[in-house]
Amino acid sequence: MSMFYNTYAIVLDSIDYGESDRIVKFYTIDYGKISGIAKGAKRSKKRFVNSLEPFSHVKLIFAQKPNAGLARVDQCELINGFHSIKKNIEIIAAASYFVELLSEMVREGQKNQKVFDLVLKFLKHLNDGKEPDTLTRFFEIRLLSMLGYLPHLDKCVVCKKLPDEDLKIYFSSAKGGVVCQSCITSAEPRVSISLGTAKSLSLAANASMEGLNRLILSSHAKKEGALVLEDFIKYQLGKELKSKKFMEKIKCEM
Amino acid sequence: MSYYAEPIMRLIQEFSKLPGIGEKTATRLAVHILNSSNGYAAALAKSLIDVKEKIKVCRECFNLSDKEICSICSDLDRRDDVVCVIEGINDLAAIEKTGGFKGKYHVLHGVLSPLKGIGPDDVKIMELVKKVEKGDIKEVIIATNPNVDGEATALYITKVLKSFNIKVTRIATGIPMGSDLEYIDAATLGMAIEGRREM
Ligand SMILES: [Zn+2]
Ligand SMILES: [Zn+2]
Repeated sequence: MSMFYNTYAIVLDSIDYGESDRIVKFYTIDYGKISGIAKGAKRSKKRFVNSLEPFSHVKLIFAQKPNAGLARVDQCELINGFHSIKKNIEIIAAASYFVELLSEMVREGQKNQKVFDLVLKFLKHLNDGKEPDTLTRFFEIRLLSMLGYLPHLDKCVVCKKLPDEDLKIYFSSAKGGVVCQSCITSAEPRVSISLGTAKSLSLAANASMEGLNRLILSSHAKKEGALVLEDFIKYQLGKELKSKKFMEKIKCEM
Repeated sequence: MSYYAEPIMRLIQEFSKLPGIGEKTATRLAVHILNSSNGYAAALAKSLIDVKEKIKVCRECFNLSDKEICSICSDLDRRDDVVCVIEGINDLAAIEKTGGFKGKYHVLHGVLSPLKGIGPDDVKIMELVKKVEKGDIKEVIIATNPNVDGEATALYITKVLKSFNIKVTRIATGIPMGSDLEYIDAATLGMAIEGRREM
């Protein structure tokens, strides 16, 4: 017997399947990440009008049999298609990165309403034209924090001391945070980070949403933060994300 | 299934590999071939081999053709200065059916896709730029699909063609002919209003 579920979701990805179907990955507010098949989605545009495109916010009804891998998408109604995102290729790339990162960081069926709210809010920000680089750093650090992967940014992970203002610090993805100059070993892979960037990222992870809106990253912190988080996320996932590579490809060929 | 003789079995298996063909349909097709004339079977076999041996990609537009340059590119009645950019050859056929387009084509053989990791080097975009560089093209019409990947592709092409002094246009999206406004979804209607034309 199939059970029916009624929920809200963000479309993470969608691929054509066979002659007329599509397999769609959703992040739902009530059931976390699920994959479903939308029968006839390629032919009958009427049933799923525009709603199966990546980063759409939708109202979803799906059916699932116990122990079946794929759910069956019965209804998917568009709430917000974030159309302004689709007017700029860098913004499309950033939104794609948000949903791909989320998709890679969570397991199927792992529910987290805060994470749902986060991705929805950040897609809205992108759609409203907020600066994508800062948004991307904030999204990364907050998602990591909500899923329990926040790196240690305030104290040295080895000696647990507050780093000295006039000594250099480093970031070690393997150790999971900042390492002070006295604790770093010469052979260790590291990314350089300044105390200011570490503080900004820590603030971004812990601030309230209102506080976050007021937080400004210096251009130095943006650059450093991008390298640190890229390295850390790559270490956590064991791979580089497709949308991340895509960003590089459209940049260097311009 | 062992009650079929081996050559029939083999044919059924080959048919089953085709998209949308299950074992039942495959069996029906195989029996149909068995019951038809020798000439028919030979002609079918020859067409299958010919399509693989004779079809190549047009040097100009990347359409499929049996010649170096396809029939559209070598058609003197078609305009050289308007190029319509499409994702694949199915789209070319669809636009040709309208009968309303008298320019040339450029087949990308794919679209950019951030989520699938498909970048500019994976589709024929640089080839389009080179074509435009020659200076004979006045307008490029981008007719990729109106979805995320199609839009990303259109935006990228617009960007790389920006430095050339040519017109870059995007096909209109909107309300299908014969439909009723009140039943159109908000996204489509919104795009139709945005892409309105003067009367
Ligand atoms: Zn230390
Ligand atoms: Zn041609």
